Amino acid sequence: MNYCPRPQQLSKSACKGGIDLNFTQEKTYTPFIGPFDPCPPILTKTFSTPPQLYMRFQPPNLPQFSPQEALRHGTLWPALYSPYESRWGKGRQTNE
Amino acid sequence: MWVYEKKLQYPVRVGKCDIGMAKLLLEQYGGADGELAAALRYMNQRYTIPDKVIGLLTDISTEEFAHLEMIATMVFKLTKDATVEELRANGLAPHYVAHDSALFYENASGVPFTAAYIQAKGDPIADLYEDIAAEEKARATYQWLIDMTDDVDLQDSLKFLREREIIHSLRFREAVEILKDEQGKRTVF
Repeated sequence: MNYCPRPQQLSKSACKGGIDLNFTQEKTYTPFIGPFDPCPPILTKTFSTPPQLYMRFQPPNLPQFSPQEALRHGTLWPALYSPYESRWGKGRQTNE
Repeated sequence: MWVYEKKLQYPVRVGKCDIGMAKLLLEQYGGADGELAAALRYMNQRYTIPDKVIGLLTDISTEEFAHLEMIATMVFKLTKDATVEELRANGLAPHYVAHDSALFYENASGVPFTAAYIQAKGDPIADLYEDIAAEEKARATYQWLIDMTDDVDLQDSLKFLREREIIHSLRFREAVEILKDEQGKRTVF
């Protein structure tokens, strides 16, 4: 069985032959906003849910990055790659 | 025995003179969920873990030392050319009076490293679950560090280190699966 998550920055070819497990690597929720909160509210909060949470044991023969890509990504397998973007400069908009 | 390669696991380039970031990076140097804690934890637990996963702990521990070296490089690059005034302006005066510009195993708040951060329970499942938790906490620490800087070069190295925590977490989870497997069940009662 092949796994292929869908981190937004993955090229299509990296997922070739893989089954899209259709999980997102970031979850959002809308926290309670009180009427008397002292500061402008952050309406949406986010947290990471990377691929290791969805893979009990790595299946064999997963598609691989090229060696150069693998070094840059920190993993040989696109299915295990997890992008993370800094919140710096994003203001109160944590994410869409 | 180790073979040392005189290069970093992943390049460390710091593109911005942000001395305050050095202080924050110390969380991954001598903090409770830092690379030193991780390396020492696994290198010690390895002795009493079942044979099937000893190698995994040794390998991951070794890689954690390589990560420690990367963090040290970041901190050093950020502080080596700082004047005493700059150190003081960035909250590093307490560090300076005790250590000059030397690196030290302490967290971002200046609390020195302690073995109390790590455990070796002897129970393989307890130890591996601690290891998984440690990897996830280190991943989170990297996320918050990435959030604290707009230096894309530094972010790049930190993103690599975050990804490695994810891989290590999966490997420890796989180790649990290996130990859970009925292969090792007692057949004679």
